[in-house]
This record gives sequence, C-alpha cells and structure tokens, in this order.
Amino acid sequence: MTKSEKKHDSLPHQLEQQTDPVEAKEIVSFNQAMGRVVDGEPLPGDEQIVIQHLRSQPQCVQQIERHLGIDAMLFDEARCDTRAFVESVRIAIEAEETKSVFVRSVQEAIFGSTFGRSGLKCDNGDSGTQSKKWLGHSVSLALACSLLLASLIAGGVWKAAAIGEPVLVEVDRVDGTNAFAIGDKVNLRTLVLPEGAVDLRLPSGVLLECQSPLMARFEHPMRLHLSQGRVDVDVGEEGAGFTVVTPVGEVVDLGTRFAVNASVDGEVRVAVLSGQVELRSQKVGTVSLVDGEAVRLSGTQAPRRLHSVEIRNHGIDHARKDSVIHSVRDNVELPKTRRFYGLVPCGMRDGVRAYRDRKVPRWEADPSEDFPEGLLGADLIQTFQTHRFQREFQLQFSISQPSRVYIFYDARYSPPGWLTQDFVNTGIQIRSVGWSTTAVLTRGIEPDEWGKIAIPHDVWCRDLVHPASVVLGPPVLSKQDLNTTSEYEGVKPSMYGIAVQPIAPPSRNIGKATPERSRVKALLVSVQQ
Amino acid sequence: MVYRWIRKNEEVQSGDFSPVPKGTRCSKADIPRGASGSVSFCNITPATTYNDRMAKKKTNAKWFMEQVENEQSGLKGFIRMLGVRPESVDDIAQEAFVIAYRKLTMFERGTNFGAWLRTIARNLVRNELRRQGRRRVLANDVAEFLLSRADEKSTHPSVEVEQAEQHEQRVSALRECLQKLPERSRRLVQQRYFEELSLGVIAADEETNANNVSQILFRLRAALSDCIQKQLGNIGA
Repeated sequence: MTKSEKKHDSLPHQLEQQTDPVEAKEIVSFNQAMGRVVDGEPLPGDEQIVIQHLRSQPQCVQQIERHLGIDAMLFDEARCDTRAFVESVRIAIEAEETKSVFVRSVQEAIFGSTFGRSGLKCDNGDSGTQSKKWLGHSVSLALACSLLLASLIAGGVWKAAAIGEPVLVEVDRVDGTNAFAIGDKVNLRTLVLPEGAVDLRLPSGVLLECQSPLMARFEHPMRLHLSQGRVDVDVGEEGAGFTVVTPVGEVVDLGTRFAVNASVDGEVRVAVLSGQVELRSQKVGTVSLVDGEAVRLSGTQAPRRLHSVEIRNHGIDHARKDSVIHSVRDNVELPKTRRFYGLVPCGMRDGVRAYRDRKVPRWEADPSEDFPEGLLGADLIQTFQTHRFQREFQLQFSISQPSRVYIFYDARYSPPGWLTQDFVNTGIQIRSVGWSTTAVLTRGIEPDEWGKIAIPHDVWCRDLVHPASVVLGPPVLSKQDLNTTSEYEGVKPSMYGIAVQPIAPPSRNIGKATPERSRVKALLVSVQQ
Repeated sequence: MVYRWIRKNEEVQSGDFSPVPKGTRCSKADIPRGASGSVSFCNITPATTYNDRMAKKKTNAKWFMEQVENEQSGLKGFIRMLGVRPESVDDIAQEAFVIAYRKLTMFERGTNFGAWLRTIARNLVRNELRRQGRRRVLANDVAEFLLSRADEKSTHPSVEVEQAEQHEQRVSALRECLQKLPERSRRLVQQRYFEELSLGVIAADEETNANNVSQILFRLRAALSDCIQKQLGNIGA
C-alpha cells in the first residue's frame, strides 16, 4: 500500500473532521482497538475502549458495522462455496428429520402412541396433576433407560466399560508431565493433560500418543471422545475400528495410524499417517482418507485440505519444541487433493523418511562420510515425489525466525534457475536411499556396495536473517539435460528435499572442513568447491 | 394421510369427515388455531391423501432450498455484524436455516423470508451470549451492544430490507474494488481472508508486527467500504 493510499484511507471521513488532539488520539486508539476486535485478536483493554466509544459516539457504531460488513463480505467472497453451504443445510435438515422420526418411533415403540402428547393436553395447574405427571415421567424415564441398556447389552454394541467402567491404560512414554510415570497402569475415564505428552496403550493394543493441552474421555475402550488437543492413534493389529469422536464428526480407523487434533475454535484436523480412515459427519457425510492425506473439518464446511502436518519425532532429544517452519503450501490444485506435507521438527538425521508419498526412501549420508553436522536436528519438510511432474509447481512456506534453508537437489541434473539464483551449493552431498531397482527415476544407477540404490543430492543453502516466506519452484530439466534425455520418458530429477535450521540459538556450520564459529548472527554461506 | 384435530364437542358435518379412533396421531400443523387441550380426536379429510402431502412437502423443501441459496450470503453478513467470529458464522447461519425449516409452517408466504431468518439468527446469537463459553462471539460486551442495536433496527424493517436488497449490488461492487487494490493490499486480502492466516503469521511474512497488520487491514476495509459506496453511487446515478 502506497503512502498516498495510506493517507487516503487512514481514517473514515466522518472522523477526519475532528481537530482536537485529545479527541484525535482517542479516535486513533479506538480505531486500533476496534481493528483488533474485528480481526478477532484483541489486546487486553481493547474491548473496553471499543464499548465506551460505541456507547458514546454514534459514528463509531457505524464504523464498526462498516468494518464487520466488509469483513463478512470478504470472508464470504473467499469461501465461494455457496453450493457446499446449501448442501450442508440440506444434509442437516435431512439428519434432523431422520433423527426425529427415529426418536419418535423409539418413543412409540416403548410407550405407545400417546407418548409425548401430554403437552397438548390442558394443564389446569393442579399440583396433584403435576406431581402425577412427574411421577409418570420418572417411571417412563427409568423404563426407557432399562430398556435401552438391555437392548444395547443384548446387541453387544457396547462393552462393559461403555456404561461407566473406566478403561485400563498402560503408560508407555511420558514427556514433560508428572501426571504419569512410565509403566503405570491406570483406570482412565477422563483424560485432561494440561502440559507435556504421554503415550497410553489400551488393552486392545491401540497406542494413543496424547499431546497437551488435551481433554478427552473414553466412551469405551474402542471409542474416545476428543474435545480438545491432538491424539496420534496407532491401532496396531487388534484395534481396527477404533473411533475418535470429535465435535464435528467421527474418525473411524480402518487399520492404520492417524492423528486427530481438535482446536478450541471447533476446527478438527485429521491426518492419516498410514492406512486408511473414514470420517463420518452428520454435516458432510462420509469421507475416506488414505495414507498421506489430511483435512480440516469445521461445523458446516466441506472438508478442506490441510497442507502440512507435524510428524512427531521421538528419535532425537531436542531443546526446541516448535518448528520454525509454518504455513507450508503449494499451488497444486488437483480435484480432491488432500495430501499433506510432513513437517518433522528437529527431525533431520541419518535415516529419516525422505518423502511423504514414498515409504522406503530415506535421507542418508554418503557411506564414506558422517551425516553433515549442520543438517542434524534441522526441521524437515517431507515433500512429494509426484510433484516433480508439475511443471508450474511452487512450494511456499514461512519461517518464524532467522534460519538457514537447505535444499537437497538431485545431483545428476543441472540445477534450475530459481535454485542457482537464491541458493548456494555447499559442495556437500547426501543421498536418498532405498529406491527400487526397477524405478524409472533411478535408471542407470548401479547399486552401491551394500546393494542399495541411492540418488545423490547436492545440498544447497540460503540464509534468511528475518522471518520470511520462501517460494521454491519445480525440479526441471535444463536445456542441457534435455539434449541427453527426454522428459517424456519419465526421466526427470527426483523431487528435492527441504530442511530448515534456525540460526539462533547458535549451531554449527555445515561441513566438517568449515571452521566452527558462533552463529548468533546470520552467516554468509560457506561454499566448498 | 392427514388428520385434522376437532374440538371435543364440535359438530362434525356428515360427509366431510370420517371419524377416527381416539388417540390417533394428528399432524401438529393441522391443528387449527384455538384448538387446545379440549381436543380429543381427529378426523380424516378424504380429499387429502398421503401422496398429496408428500408432494406438498417436496414443493416446500424445494422452495426452502431456493431460499437458502438466495439468502445465505446476506444472512452470514448479518450474523457477522452481530459480532460473531468469522469461523462461527457458517455454523450459526446453518442453525438458523434448520430452525427456519423446522418452523416453516409459522412463516407466512408472501412476507419477507430474509427478515424472518434474521430474527431467528438474532435469537441464536442472543442464546450464544447467554452461554457460559461464548466462544463464538468476538467480545461479549461489543456483541451484546451490536445485538441490541440490531433489535432496535428490526423495529424499522424497511431499513433492514433495503440493506438486504442492496447486498448483491454490494458484493459485485466489492469484486470491482478488489481488482483495483494495489498488489500488497491484494496479497494481504489473500492471506487474511482466503488463506485465513492469523495476524502473527502474516506479520512474519510481511516483516512487521501483528498490530501493524491489523491497522493495515483496518485501512484496507475502510478503503474498500469507500470504494463500494462510490460504486453504488455510480450505479444509482
């Protein structure tokens, strides 16, 4: 926005007339507070300032209505999903009708056709009548409960724990909380975890990796109600059918490992780490998700793609809790694309999974070298091999603090312009190891002395001294490479890998040959030829 | 099959109704005004068959879904202007439509459906403010203030109706105005409204702080509002 524009739209016209400096200051204070309230991120005291002005100055009321109105139109414009909304209303109405028919039929089956009609009868307010009515209701209620219970037990729908027995869990791992100790066997019905993380194993073999802040309760050993927080579920062999119930629907396991995260604002995020799950929601119907797919679910909207999911990393002890990488996204707009980028905080190490859509390939050091120290413990983005075919591919992410960004580019091909322009080749190589011998991608590569097929990747890097957004392009064949091969044969560079190492706190420079020095300040990239 | 409640001692015209046994369920919708607890049985009107009723229901549903399509955008805007958080606007709008459908028999065809929906939405937001959590509103006092103002406005329905009628024009004016935004402002709109990024994340991206981003968005909305007014003025001229 230019200076002239800022001047033009800095204050609403009605308020520009004010000349008194005190009043002008108040208006600025109101504008700022109101802006934050409208944005949903008020500071303490903002609400007070806004309400005072709203009560005393009618023009302030018009102003907030004006801002909320534009805000609403912009959100509506952005969502552009009229059909999805209309569909969600239709489903909600159908569900409501079905439910009422069901409830009525159950009531009638139990109490006869007169149930529920008492409300239509004339009530003369007589206390005797009242008490008889309440007595009648109590008897009805008790009868209903007994019948319901009997029918459920007879139907074998719930196990004993479903009707109030707590679930026996064994504590497998504890991190950052004193509420549990490893090896504890605890009867749990409700789980509130204000801090830390804990892994709980259920009798069925299901492993729940719970991250704080978390609130959940067991309905029975195969059904967990998650109100808030993240649970990664590894169902093992015996736990197929394990269900996580969230405020917007149910996630039913179909033999898998998956993560569910329910946020305070009501949004639920579901990611499938392996296998398949089924999402069942009254509002959006049933949706299947397979390995590598993730969605965001909210009250009424159709499931939306969740671009990145943090993958838990037990392998390395690390001081940093949070990733420095945020908002990973790409421009791939294939219909129903729900693939997520794996974001592994501090996860870069020898043997870590390289790609989200390839289970086997791992990042490894050259056999004759140690794993580059500068890369160790960097945040890793697990990319998709299939994206190497997207000619206009762009991958974007943000970093929250000064960092060094590493790209691992297929060393068999000439680097593309976007890479050479912004990044420097460190001269170090790592390998993606574990490819099939028949893969087109590895054509011409001979197995190494241990029989592994490995693609060499040059390590490129770039220092960013401020939090920033990074945009990367596609892996492409240069003109030079095109002379020697053909894109149509499927021979293209392997998809690159990405890692980000924060510059502060200090860490070591990449490469053994480079002398160590403090990295409290941003460094120039050290180049090894 | 449709039943009609009749009063206990009401005289039944021979040939018009066929009495049915006491206790037969009757459609609530078919209870005539004034029929109270004194009703004890209902009669079948031979002319109204099950198929007729289903056909009527289908027509109603079709008409209702058309209304959902037409009214949803305006209703969401109205709900947002009551101080509801953007992420909860769709939920409340959906609830309003479901309630409206449930109570459709109370709506008089030919009157303003949008105004009726807005009344339902106001009641839903009022209920939300009474709740303990109140997670779906921006700030309690501000939301309460906006709600009471909306209540006042509803006593002058012509203003509300006029605003609702202008909604489509305002949306197309907004689209025009978005095209005219400079690149950085457009990027901010993209980040905030299309990608739904928080102020902090946008701030990191733009190398500034969250407060600055909020102020830029404030100016941006004001500029868009002015632009829309100008566009509407041009249309009216």
